[in-house]
Amino acid sequence: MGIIKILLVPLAAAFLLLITGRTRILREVLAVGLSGLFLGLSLFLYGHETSFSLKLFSFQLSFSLNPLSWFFLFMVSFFTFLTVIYSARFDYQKNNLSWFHFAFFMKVFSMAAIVLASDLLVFFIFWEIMSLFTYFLMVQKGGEKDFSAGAKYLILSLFASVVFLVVLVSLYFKAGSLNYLDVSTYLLRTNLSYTVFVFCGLVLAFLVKSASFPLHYWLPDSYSNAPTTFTAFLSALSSRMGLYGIILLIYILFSGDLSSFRLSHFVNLRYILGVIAAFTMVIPTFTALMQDDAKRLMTWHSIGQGGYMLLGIAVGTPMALAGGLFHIINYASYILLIFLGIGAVEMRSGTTNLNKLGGLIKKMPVSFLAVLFGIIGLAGIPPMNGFVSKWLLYKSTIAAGFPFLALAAFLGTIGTILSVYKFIHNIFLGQLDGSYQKVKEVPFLMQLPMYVLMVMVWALGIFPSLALEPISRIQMFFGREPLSFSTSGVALSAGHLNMLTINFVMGAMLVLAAAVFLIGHRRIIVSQYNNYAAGHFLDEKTKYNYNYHFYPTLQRFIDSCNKEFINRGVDSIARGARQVSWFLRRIYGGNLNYYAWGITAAFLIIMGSLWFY
Amino acid sequence: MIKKPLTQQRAWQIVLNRLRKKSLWILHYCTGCGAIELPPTKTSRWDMERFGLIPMATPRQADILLVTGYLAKKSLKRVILSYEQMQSPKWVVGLGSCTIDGGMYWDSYSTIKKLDEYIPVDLYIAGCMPQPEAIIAGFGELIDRIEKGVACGWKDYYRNWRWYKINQQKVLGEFDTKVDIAREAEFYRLKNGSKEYQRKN
Amino acid sequence: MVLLRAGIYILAAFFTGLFLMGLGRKITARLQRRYGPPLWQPLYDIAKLFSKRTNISHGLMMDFSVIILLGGTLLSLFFLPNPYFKDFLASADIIVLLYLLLLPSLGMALGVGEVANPNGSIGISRALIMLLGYDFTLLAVVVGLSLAYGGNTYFVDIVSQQGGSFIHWNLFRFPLFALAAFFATLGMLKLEPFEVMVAPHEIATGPMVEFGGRYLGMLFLQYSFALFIEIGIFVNLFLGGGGIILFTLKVISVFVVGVLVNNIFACFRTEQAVKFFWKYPLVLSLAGIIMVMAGK
Repeated sequence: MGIIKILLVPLAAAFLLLITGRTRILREVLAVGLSGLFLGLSLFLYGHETSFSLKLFSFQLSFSLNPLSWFFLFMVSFFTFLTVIYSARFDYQKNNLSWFHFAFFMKVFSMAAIVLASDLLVFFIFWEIMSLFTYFLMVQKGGEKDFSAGAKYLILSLFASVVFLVVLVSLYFKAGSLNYLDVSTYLLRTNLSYTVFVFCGLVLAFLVKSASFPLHYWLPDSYSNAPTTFTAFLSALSSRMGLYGIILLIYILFSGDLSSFRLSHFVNLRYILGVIAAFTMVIPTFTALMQDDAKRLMTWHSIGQGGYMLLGIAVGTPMALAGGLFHIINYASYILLIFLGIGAVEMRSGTTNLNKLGGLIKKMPVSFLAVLFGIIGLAGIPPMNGFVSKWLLYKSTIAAGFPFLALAAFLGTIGTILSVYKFIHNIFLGQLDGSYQKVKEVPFLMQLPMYVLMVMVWALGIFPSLALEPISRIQMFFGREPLSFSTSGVALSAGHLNMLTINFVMGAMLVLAAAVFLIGHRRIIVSQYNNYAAGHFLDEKTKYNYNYHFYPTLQRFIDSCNKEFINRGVDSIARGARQVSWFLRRIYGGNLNYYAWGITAAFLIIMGSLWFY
Repeated sequence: MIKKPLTQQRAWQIVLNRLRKKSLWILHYCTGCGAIELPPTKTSRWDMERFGLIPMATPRQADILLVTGYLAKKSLKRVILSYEQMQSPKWVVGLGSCTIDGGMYWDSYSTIKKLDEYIPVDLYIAGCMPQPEAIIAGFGELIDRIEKGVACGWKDYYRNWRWYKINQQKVLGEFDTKVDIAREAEFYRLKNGSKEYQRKN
Repeated sequence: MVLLRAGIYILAAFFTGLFLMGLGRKITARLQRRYGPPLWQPLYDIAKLFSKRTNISHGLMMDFSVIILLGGTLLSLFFLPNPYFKDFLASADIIVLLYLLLLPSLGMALGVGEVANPNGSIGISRALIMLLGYDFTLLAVVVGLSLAYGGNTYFVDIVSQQGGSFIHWNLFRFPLFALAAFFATLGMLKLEPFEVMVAPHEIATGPMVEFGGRYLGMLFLQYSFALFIEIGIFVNLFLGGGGIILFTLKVISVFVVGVLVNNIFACFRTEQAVKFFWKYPLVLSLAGIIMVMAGK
C-alpha cells in the first residue's frame, strides 16, 4: 500500500498543477507542499520492503520496494523538493507555467514508477512516459534550436526504445513472464548466445539513456536548451535512470555473475563496459573545457561523471560498487548546486555566455559560495563528498588490476579541475563589467536550496557513512559483500580513509594560518582599477580580463582532434526526417476531393482483403 | 641632543629596520638610459644579490623605485603611477645626474629637471652614468640610512600629497591614477604636513 | 603534548624548507661564479614582507585565498610520512595526499581570480595546463607502484617496504618510475624547465602579480612548506624515508639535483612542457606499469 500512496502523490500533483497553473501563489504552494509530502513518504519508507501487483488485460504488472529502489526514490524525491522550492521564485519569462509543472511532475511520477517497478513491462511503459515528458520539458520556445535539440533526443531515445522493445518481446515469448525473478532464473538456464543478445540489447538501450560514449551526442544540446531549473533536475537524475537500468541488468537480472562471458582477464563484458566508461570519463570532460556557454559546459560534465558511475558498476568489487553508487548521489547533489548557481546568474544578468560574464563575486556572494562548493565536489577535492566516492573508485580499480581504467579516471579528474576553474573564473572572478554593476543577489527562497545542498555536500564528505549505510544494504540485497565502513570513512586492512581527521586537521591548520596572517595585519581594499597594467592607466572603458580561449594550448590540440562524425550524422538524420515529414504532410492538403477518394479506396481495399481471407 | 626614550614601538621599529635593510627589492622598471648599468650590477661581476637586492616585476612586490637617468614627461606619469602602487615603506633612488638637476638634458622641453618636486627622493647617486661600484656604494648608503631610520621619503609623500599633486599636475595636466591617496594617508595615520606651497629643503 | 610535537614538526619543516630555498640561491650564485646572498636570506625576505606597512587587497576572497593556501599546505604536511610527527599517519594514503595538495592551489587560484588582472589569470591557466603534465605522470607512477604492492596505496606501507639496506630502495627496484617521478616533482615545484607559470618578464610573475606585502610573505612561507612536502613525497616513494638526519639529508640531495637541473635549462613553453611530460616521463611510467603487470 505504501507504494500506491507514494506513486499517487506526484500524479496528483501533476494534474492539480495543470488545473491551477495560472495563479502563481496557489501553484507554488501546491507544488512545494506535494513534493514535501512525497519526500516525507519516501523517508518514511526507509527499510520497508513491500510489493504490489495488479492485473491489466492479461499482463501482471508488479511493483516492489527494495533497497535499490529506495535509494533512487529518495534521490528523486529529495532533489524534486529542492528544485521545486528553487523554481518557486525563478523567472521563467513566461506567465502560464501549468504545462511545465504538469510535465515536470509527470516525469517525477514516471521516474518513481520506474524505480519501483519489479517487472520489465512496467519498466518499459514508464520509461516511455518519462522520455515523452522529458521532451516536453526540453522544448519550450519553438524554432530551429528547439527542433534540433528535441530531434536529437527523440531519435536516439526511439532507437533505444526499439532495441529495448525487441529484447522485451523475445524475453516474453521465451521466458513466459517479464518479472525480474522469472527473467533472471530463465537467463541462468538458457544458452550463452541468447544471454549475450539480451545483455547487449538492454545495455545498448541503457547506454543511450545514460549518455555514454559514443552515444552521448544528444545530451548537451537537449539539456542546455531547457530552462535552467529543469536542466539541473535532468542532469542530476534523468541520465541516472539509464544507470539504474544497467545496475538492474547486471545485478538483478544477471545476478551479478558475468563470468560466463569472459575469455581472459581483459576480454570480458565487465572490462568492455569499463573501457566504455573510461572513454566517457575522458573525452566529454575535455570537450567541456572548450565550451563557451556555462550550461553546455556543465551538461558535458553530466556525461563525463556518468562514466565514473559506470566504471564503479562495471568493476563490481564491493568498494567499486559502493563508489559508483555513492557517486550517483554525490554527483546529483553538487551538479544541482552548480546549476542553481547558474540559474541565479542567468536570472540576474541575463546571460550564460562565459565570454561576457565576469567579476560577479562582489555582487552575488551566495551564488559564488554555492558554485564553489559544487565545484570542489565535482573536481573530487577533499573535504567534500566527491572526493570520497572518487577515492573509492580509484582504489578499487587499482586493486582489481585495471590500472589503465584508473589512469583514465585520474585523467578525467584533471580535466574536470581545468574546466571547473574556467567556469568559476569566467563567471565570478575577473573584472566586473560596467553593465553588471546593478546585479543583486537572488531572493532568499532561491538561496535556501543552495544552503541545504552546501550543508549536504560537506556533511556527506565528513560522514560518508550517511550514504554508505543505504548503499551497503543495497549490496547485501544483491547478495554481495558490502563495503566495511566506519562513521567517518572507510576502514581497510592497511590505510584507512578518515574524513573526520582530515577535516579536523584542516580546521586547525586554517586557524593557524589565519593567526599567522591576521596578527598585526592592516589592509586596504582597493578598487579593481587600481591594478598592475605595466604603467597603463585603467578605467571603466578598458576591458582588462582574460576570458576568451582560457586554455589556448589545449584548445588548439583538442580542436585538431575533434571531428564530430557522430554529431553530424545524427544531425543529418534529423534533417532527413524533417524533409520526409514535410513531404508526407502534404497528404493532408485540405482538399475534400482527395479525402473522399482516399476513404473510398481504403474502404474498398479492406473489404476486398476481408472477403479474400 | 636629547636622545628619544626607547619605547616598545621604537625598539620594534629598530628590529624591523635591521631586517628590512637586508632584503630590498628593486622594481625592474628601466626608465632611462642609466638602466644600462643595471645588468652588470646584477650579474656575476658586481653581484648585488649578495646584499639581498633583487629585481622584481611589479610595483606591489618592490621596495625601491630606481629612477635611472632622465625622465621624460610621459615616463613621469607612469613612474608616479608605479610609485603610488608600491606598498610602504618604499624608497626612491635617483640614479644619475639627470635626476638631480637635469644633467645632460638641462635645457630640454620634454624632460623634468628636479625629480624631488614630483616624488620624494631618498638618495641621489651622481654620475653620467654611475658605474656599478658607485651604484653599490650608493645602495650601501641607502641601507645605512634605512638602518638608522632616516630614510622616510614615503611619509613625506603622504603628509604633503597635495603639494606633490600640484607640482605633478603643473607638468602633466589632470590625470587619475585610481589610487586613493587621501585614504591611504589616513590609513598610515600620517598627519598633514605644513608644506602647502613651500619647497622642502 | 601532541600540540607541542606538532608545533616542532611544523617549525622543522619550515626551517628545512627555508634552508633549501637559501641553499638553492647560493648554489645558483656559485654556479654563476659569484657569491650569493647569505644562506638565511629567505628568512629576511619573509620578515621584510611581513613588516610592510601597507597591504593592498582586492577583496575578501583574496584574504581567504592566502589563508586557504597556507592552511591547505600545512594540512598536507600532516599526512606525509615523516620522522617527526606520526600521529595522523594512520590515514596517510598517497592518493589522499596528492589530492590534498590540490586544495591550496585551488584556494590561491580563486584569490588570483578576484584580483581581476589578466596576468594572474593567464598564469593560473598555464599552471592548470601543466597540472595535466606533471600530476598525471605522478599519478601514473603511483598507480604502477601500488599495483606492484598489490593494490595497496597506504603510504606508510610503501615506505616500510623499502626498509633494510639501501638496495631495497624503490629507486633501484623501479628505476623507470623513479625517473618519471623525478621529473614530475620538478614540475610540481615549478623549478626551471617548468616555470612558465611565473614567467616574470612575460606575464609579470603570473599569479603573484598583485600580491605584495603580507600576501607575498604568505606565498613564500607556503613555498617553503611545499618544498618540504613535495620533495618528501619523492623521498618517501623512492628513497626509503628514514630518521630525522637521514630524511633531511635525502631531501637536501634531491633538491640539490633539482637546482642543478634548474640552472641548466631555460623555461619551456606550456605546450612544450606538457608534450615533454607526455612523451618521456609518461611513456616511462606506462612502460613500467606494463612491466609490473607482466610480472604478476
